[in-house]
Amino acid sequence: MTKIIVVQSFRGGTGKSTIASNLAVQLATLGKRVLVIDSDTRSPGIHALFGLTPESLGSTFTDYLLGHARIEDTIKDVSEQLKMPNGTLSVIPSSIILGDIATNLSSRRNFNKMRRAIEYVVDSTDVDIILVDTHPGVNEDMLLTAALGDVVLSVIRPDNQDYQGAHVTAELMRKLGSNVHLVLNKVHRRQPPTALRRKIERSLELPVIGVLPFTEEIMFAESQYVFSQKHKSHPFSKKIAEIATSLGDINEDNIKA
Amino acid sequence: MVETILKRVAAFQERNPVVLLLAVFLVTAVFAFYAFQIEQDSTVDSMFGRDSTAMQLKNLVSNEFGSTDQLYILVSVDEDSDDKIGVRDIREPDVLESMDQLAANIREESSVSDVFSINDLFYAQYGRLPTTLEESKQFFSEVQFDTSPFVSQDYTALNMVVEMNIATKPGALAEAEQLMLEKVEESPKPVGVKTILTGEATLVNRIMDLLIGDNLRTIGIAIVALAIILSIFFRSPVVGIIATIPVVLTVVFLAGAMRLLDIKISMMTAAVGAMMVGIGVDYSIHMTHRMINLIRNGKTVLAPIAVPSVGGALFASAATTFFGFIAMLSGSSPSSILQGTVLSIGIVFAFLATMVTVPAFMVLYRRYWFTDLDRILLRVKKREKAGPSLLQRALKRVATFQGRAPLALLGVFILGTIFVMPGASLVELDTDNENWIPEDDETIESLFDIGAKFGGLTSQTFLLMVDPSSQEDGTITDLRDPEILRKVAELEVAMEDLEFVNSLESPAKTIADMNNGRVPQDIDQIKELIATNPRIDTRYNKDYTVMRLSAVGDDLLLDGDSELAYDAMLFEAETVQFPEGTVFVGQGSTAQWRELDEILQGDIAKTTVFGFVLVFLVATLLFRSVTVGVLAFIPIIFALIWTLGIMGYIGLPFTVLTSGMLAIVMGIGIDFSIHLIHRTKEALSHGETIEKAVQFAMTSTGEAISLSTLTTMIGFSALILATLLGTQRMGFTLAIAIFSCFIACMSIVPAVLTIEHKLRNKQSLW
Repeated sequence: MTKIIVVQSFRGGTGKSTIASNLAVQLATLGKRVLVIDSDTRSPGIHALFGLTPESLGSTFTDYLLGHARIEDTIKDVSEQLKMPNGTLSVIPSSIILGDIATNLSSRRNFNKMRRAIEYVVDSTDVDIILVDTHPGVNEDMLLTAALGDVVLSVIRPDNQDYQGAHVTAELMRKLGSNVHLVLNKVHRRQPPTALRRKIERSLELPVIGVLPFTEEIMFAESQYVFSQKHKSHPFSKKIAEIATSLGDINEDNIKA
Repeated sequence: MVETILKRVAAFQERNPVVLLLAVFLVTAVFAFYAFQIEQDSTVDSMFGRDSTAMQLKNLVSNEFGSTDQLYILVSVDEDSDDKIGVRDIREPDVLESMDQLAANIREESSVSDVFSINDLFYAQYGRLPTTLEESKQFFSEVQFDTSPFVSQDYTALNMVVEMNIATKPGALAEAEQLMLEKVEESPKPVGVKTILTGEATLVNRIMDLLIGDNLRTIGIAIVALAIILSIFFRSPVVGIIATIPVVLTVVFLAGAMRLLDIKISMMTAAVGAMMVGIGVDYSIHMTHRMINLIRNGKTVLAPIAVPSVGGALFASAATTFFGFIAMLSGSSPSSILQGTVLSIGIVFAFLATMVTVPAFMVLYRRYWFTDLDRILLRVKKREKAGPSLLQRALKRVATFQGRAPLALLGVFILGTIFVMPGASLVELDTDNENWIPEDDETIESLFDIGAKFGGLTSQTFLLMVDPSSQEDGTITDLRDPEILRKVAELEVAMEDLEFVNSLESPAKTIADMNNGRVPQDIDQIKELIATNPRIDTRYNKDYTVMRLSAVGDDLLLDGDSELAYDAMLFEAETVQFPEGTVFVGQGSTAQWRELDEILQGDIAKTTVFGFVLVFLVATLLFRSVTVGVLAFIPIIFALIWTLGIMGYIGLPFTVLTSGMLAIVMGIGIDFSIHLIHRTKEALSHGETIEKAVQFAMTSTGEAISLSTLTTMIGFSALILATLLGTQRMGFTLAIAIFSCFIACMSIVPAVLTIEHKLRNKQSLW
């Protein structure tokens, strides 16, 4: 049974793609067959973290949405590149060509294609986990993926703007009946994580699956690699690994609940 | 078991809606093929069983005396013609000449036994027709014969009487009439003269045409009206059309099935189509209502949720309605039996059409009309607690009251019923011709004209017969008996005293005339007299066991008071007291309608009682609870009282078409009850309090019932646009019946459910 995990945030710059890529690597390390879909066709970028260059992208998710490619031709296996010891890791990147982004924005979208892409992966591949990276805010792609997701990870920072956004996200997810978990990111070392976690859980009435520390080293990595793969003992990487394990443990009953 | 089947069907519908709809399309095509071949039966005779007295007498007369059907050809000055050379006086020789040609032409037909016109009197008096207008006028001023049957007093119209001799097989009269019509139209006529063919046979055919046309039009109007109302209610033309499709299919399937079962469209079955539209839409609304709510709540799976739950309630209500209609088969009139048969088949089709097509179409509608994003946005846009509609707020208020003070509500309702009840005793059964005689119809107006303008043309036939069941010694076996003839002569005097009877044509008068005004004492003398005048013989059958008597009057046929006249004549016959061993009976249309009256009255009582028993049993069995059986049953009794009461107060009588109405009320009333009981019990089983359960049932199912009442009433009200009074009355009666069912079910069911629940749980009723 393939599990679909959607990573989203109400505002930009929360660290969605960083968390998605690190979770993907950690889940693959746990032996899972993982596929990352970059559904953020307006501001794509996650491919860079997996070492893919604009030239090496080939057919993209954007091409699929525009009807220029079949979904199966857009899947890139990056397991070897990332030297994954156990599981596998593949990526469906979005196009980084301005023309494609503009065409996709201006064309009449077929809103059923997102579901069909995921149905294809679920029915025709042996992937265990699909991780969907989304565009920030409430938009078509986020809604389409969130409705399909077994788990929605909503990334927030300890910031009043993010809290208000999280309220909107929480209401939205309740209506969609989605199983939402919050990921609290960029928490400063002077902010007490446990108290913060309790406060947010109480006010948003949603579980916090992990609290990730603010880490300058990630900035220095310049999105050239997946941080937790290279710096396994870093506190950020350990927390990511914990979240990955919890996600692996969320079974069907939890999802339904 | 029903639930398991419904679950399987639902899973298939969700997976393969297209396959299912293709199958429906194929089946529909087959039924439509037969539906287009459905035949009409325009004879009134089909309303009577073969064993009915009316039919036996008709066959007797036809076998012993030949057919007595008459057609009239009305030749009149065309008042609309402004041609200067046109005829202004019907006595013109040209007109008489053309009538002579037409008469000769018509006489050639085997179906015509004789033709009479004013020309016969000319030939009798002068041996030829007049050559000038003056000569013609001269004749009329000095003629010794009674010309009133053949010429109007103002000399604007002539009447030609065509005596027909037609086989008794159905449709023979219509065929002969069509032939006559062609002859009349082909025949040359002078400028400014028009000819119209009319007669009772023409009237019946014309009425049947109108009746069938009326009903087909009504079905069309009702379906369009339903599609519009449902589109508005569901806020989507597509959903409106989906909800209307089962109704259309039901009508097509039913017409096809009728053809296959050799059931013709007749006065009795013509209205069933319109009734099925009214009843069928109820099923479709419940299913569509549930499914569109699921779609609007963003549900991705429809059929497996809606079909088992709504389908269960629909099955229960279709089953009870079916048996309500089956009860009509206990009637003895073909009208009741045929209506019962066609309606019960119709219910099965209405149920199947809804169960098969609505879920399949709605699955496709959700799949192709909405994108994934639309569906998500529907869920997102849905308010956390959607504000109830005005109707739901009103229903909720009623439900709250029902939950709090069920006894008070029942009290108010019973008081209302007591107020309405006396009206029920005022309802009459009306089998008068006026139900079927349309206004502004030339053919029919001409028939009335004949009654008004010409004299002595209409007659009422009576038969005096030797009673074969009482052949004791000494009783009369030959109707030439002097005692019989003296009694007939006595009757003649009595009848001719009646103001609407001109004369009683009987053998007694002629025999007495031949014997110095007295009936001979000896039968042999009578036999001799009859032998000298063969015309007397035509009043007897071959073995002289049946005597035909005709009371001739100006307006006995279609006058609104024809029944009163008939009764008065029968009363005179009774006072005459014919000897034992003989029977005196009326024959013809008035007698037929009288018998129909009696049959229908018996049927109404029988089918209603039988229907009650069946509906009670089926509801009890389906819900495995006597309480539910009783509960489903009580509102119907009240609905019947209300319907009859309102009918009585507004002066709406029962007719041939509405005599089976009580069974229909039962069928529909039980639907409402069952849906309400089903939903309330469902809520109770989820642990709700009785107050909440009643509120839930009233605002959800109650809303669907309200819509269904509105649409069904509109469906039936469309009949009010019909041409014939009988059809209009049926529409009106059924609309009242549905409204009564609605009021009764919505008031009683929740109140009684609350009382029952509170009593069982030993709670206070106040």
